[in-house]
Amino acid sequence: MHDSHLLINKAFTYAKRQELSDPENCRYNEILGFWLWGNDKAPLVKSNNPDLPKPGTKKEDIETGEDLKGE
Amino acid sequence: MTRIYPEVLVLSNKHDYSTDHVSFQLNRIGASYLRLNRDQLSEMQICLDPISQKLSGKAKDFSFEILHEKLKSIYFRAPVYLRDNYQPGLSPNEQLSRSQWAAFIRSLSVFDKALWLNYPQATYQAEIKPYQLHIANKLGFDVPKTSIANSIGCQNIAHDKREKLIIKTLDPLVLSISDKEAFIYTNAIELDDLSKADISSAPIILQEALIPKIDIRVTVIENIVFAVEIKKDSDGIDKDWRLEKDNVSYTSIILPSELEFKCITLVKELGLKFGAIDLALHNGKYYFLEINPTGEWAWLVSNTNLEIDKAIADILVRGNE
Repeated sequence: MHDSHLLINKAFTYAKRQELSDPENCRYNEILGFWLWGNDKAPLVKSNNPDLPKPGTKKEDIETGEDLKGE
Repeated sequence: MTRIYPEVLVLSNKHDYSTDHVSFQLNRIGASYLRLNRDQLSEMQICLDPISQKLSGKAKDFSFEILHEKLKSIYFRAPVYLRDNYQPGLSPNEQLSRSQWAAFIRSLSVFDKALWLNYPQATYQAEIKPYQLHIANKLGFDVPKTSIANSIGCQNIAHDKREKLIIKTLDPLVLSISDKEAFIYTNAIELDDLSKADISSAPIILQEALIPKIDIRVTVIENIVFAVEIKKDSDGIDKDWRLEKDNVSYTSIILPSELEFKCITLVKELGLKFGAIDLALHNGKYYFLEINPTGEWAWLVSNTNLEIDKAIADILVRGNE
């Protein structure tokens, strides 16, 4: 039996990703095309609240971004 | 019920927060736009007429009609093709749904007069890393010595057995390894270790290691360039900086004008309107590493206040004027 390929030996392993769920206390507005949060219904991406998910960061590269081309 | 006749169509999915930035900017400037999320299409009634180039649909709270004579642009935040067919546990219905909605999204290429950011066909070719290197080299970029191979020996990249080379995948992928997942970042490896390793079952990219280096991310939107230097503790990062992403700093920089022009030209040459280019500054020279036509950018809006979201919204509103 062959050894594993070099790239597989070098792979960065992590726990399987869960299905993306809706951010807490947020609602997606289909007309506006972006998420709103809180009672004020402020745009989620413009929030500085550290308790909210930080959208659009490089941290999400595996989840939704360039490494998966938005899959 | 609200009826929408959009001039800008945004194709994305519901949890793609980068798209939120663009929708927010489109809303701010009063644009006529519609965001359709691929993961919500099954909840709508949708009909595409490819002959008259018309897409109409009805959702719970709104309906829409997209007419080719009115549509200015399409922001395409969708994969060119799905790479997740390996996923276990999908029912036949889910498999059919994924495959056919993906084809439906591609079918929107009937709107061929609109500006696409980016056009799927151009993205498909531009994602081919060796092709990128070929075009970048042709345009005068410095590029690292590179081979794509499944054996060691034919390369003329490193000679000393302690010398390092870069190894990376030809195409990004997520591996399923028993109950975990794995992603393959760019790695540096000594020639001696490489020569003992098995790479026969799949070709890899072998590249000259640019060490030390400073990583630079250049985001190009047509003729607008946003460049950011990526450092850790004021120094460059010799390994794949994405592995250090919680500890790095991003600083907006101005590139030499000739290099900036080359970046714009590269994006045009590849038939793109948007490109995220990775450069490395090594020994005083800027090297082209790769370009990602679907590259992420919203993390730069959050970290550097660069107005990439505004630039994208502006080009979408302008269309092919």
